Amino acid sequence: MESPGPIAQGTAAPAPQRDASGRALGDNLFLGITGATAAFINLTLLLIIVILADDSLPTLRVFGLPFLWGTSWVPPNGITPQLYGALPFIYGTLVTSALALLIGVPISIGIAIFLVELSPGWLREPLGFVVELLAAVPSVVYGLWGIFVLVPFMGSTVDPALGSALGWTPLFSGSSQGYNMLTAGVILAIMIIPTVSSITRDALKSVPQSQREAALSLGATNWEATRVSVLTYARTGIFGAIILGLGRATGETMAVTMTIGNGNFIHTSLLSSAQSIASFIANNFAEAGYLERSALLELGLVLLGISILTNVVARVLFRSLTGAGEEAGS
Amino acid sequence: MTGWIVAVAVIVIVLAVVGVGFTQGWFSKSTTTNTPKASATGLAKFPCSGTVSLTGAGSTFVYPLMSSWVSAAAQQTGNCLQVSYSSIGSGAGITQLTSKLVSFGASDAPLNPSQKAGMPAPFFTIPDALGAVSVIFNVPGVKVLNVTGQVVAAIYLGDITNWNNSAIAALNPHTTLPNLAITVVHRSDGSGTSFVFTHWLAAENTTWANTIGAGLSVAWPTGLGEKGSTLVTSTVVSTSGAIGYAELNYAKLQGAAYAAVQNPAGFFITPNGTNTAEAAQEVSSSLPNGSGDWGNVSIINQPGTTTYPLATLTYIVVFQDLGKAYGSGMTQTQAQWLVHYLYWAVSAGQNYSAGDFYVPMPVGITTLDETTISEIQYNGQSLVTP
Repeated sequence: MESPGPIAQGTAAPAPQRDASGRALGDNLFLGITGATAAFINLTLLLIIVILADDSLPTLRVFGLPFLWGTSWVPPNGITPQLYGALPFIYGTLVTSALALLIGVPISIGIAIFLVELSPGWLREPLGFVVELLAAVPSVVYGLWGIFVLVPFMGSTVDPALGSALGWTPLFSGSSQGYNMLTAGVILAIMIIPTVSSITRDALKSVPQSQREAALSLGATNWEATRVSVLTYARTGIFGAIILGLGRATGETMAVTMTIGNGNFIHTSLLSSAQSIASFIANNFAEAGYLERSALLELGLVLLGISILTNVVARVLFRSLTGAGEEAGS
Repeated sequence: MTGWIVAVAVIVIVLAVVGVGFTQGWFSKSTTTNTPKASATGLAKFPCSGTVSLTGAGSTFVYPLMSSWVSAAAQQTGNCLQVSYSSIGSGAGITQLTSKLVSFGASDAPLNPSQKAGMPAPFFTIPDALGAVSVIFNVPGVKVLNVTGQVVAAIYLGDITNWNNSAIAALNPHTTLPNLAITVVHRSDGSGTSFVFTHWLAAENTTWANTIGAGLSVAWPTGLGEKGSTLVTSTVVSTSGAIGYAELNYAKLQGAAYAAVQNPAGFFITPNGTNTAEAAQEVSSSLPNGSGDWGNVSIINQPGTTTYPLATLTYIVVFQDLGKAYGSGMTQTQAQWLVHYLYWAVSAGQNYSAGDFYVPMPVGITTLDETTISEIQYNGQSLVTP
């Protein structure tokens, strides 16, 4: 701030130079540098959108909006005209991300509650360290683990069990080799756990001790105190953690490619192979011709749009559920 | 706790220093000029001073072979000729060449009309390696399997879904095929291997030709997609009932069983070096010259009773006049060494093929290549060839 400090008046040290508004020169520099870093990231996002939009123009001209709900992806094949549609990939992205949240978020919140509220003190540090270590594992390593451990396990044990128990529902019908949306969802769930749980843990930590004590003094059990006073108080922070997890899940490429089966189909069964946007772009970019490259870039734009849209919708939903303007615990 | 953190830090620092040291040449005696010996062969014949850098980009199929060439070239010239090759995919390689970002491009398919139209200067097409695409399978208890393009296409169309199908049984009268669902595995990324495989399916099966067609990637009607030949092969190896396709070297390296494929003469051929080379030999007399139109060149389904039908050539694409194409972007020394390198790769370099499970190209094609390479110029001037 710009209040004249005691140094400026009382000591032998030279007073910092000030500009017309009385602000110290160093502070101006500080403002400039931090402002530039903030501008840099916005500018980058803007440039990404501009470039993606510009490079998608050829596809937009040929296919227009129906690109969004088209279900075929036909690169040059010597017989039929090229045809590009995004729906199978949008579907795959949404389903795998939803699965990741469905599986990953409860586990993450459980980890965070245990770490902050219930864990014995000596376990807190090492357990928290291990969870954060998971975040440092490269996604290709998750993918390899997926191929060699998770896919065979899902294909031989989990999928048949689900199929025989719930095969009558459209969600688990059909046979599976383990390469499917469910496996990709499980991998993504594991990948978002470190992010979601460590941010949730920080949110829970920031809940004042008085909140817990108040609940406990009214005779609440541990569970009731956590639910009523801690989770409610920290819900904005937890919500932010989930949104970050969702971002990681929708954008993940390598681990999804290696487990989802890469089939450009829309099936209701979670046991069938599918394809996500990020994985599809990574698979096909290198060998894409002119129009297909443009279509892939438009897919990138669609992915960006989905991320923004889910973010906004989630925020609106959250506000309406918790009451507008309430910003506790963040 | 602190103890091992320090230990890890020390190891990391030591590794970093060693790594930097190697790239900077701290551990090798520095060579400024490689003086050729009278007895020198290959690239060592030519005097090379300082460092000559060349770049290439493209095909992933040719990458293992290209890596052998690159290290052999560096070794023979005393680390003077340094070629860096990025295996970013055939299409991307040609795009890089079109933008003049690399000295040569490598593509598994001859350039298509739109790629040709995009080229900023006249170019040569130079076949540089020969390979076979194998049809790999995993059927418990079955070591030898006969297939036809007709049946493989029906499997990839999703019309044949079980190994005990009568169409497969008819081709394998002495084999008991199990009642086992077929898992179709294909490439999920665009690839030269898919290009050859789908061209073969289209040639063999009219339904495939009329509905799916052929290309670097197609709209696969069924099956699992896997990125890269390595994953396709390992998925087939680990999945009971799977069928897939990959360059023969991947099948051999991972121990996948590969099928005997029926050729146009009606014989079932298990791929090897000899019967793959025969496919290339069949076409070598009818190939266009280096500046000609290679768009329709294909070596699948060649005649001959012992010829393997699923063979493929991969190509290097290079500008005809390097000086005019790159301007100041390429010196005459670089141009000369590009010519030396390419000439060596298509002749003596072919001997590296066996070690990498490629097949040395027949003499007819290497001779054609040598003629083409000797026509590469620098601002209208010819360059030295052996």
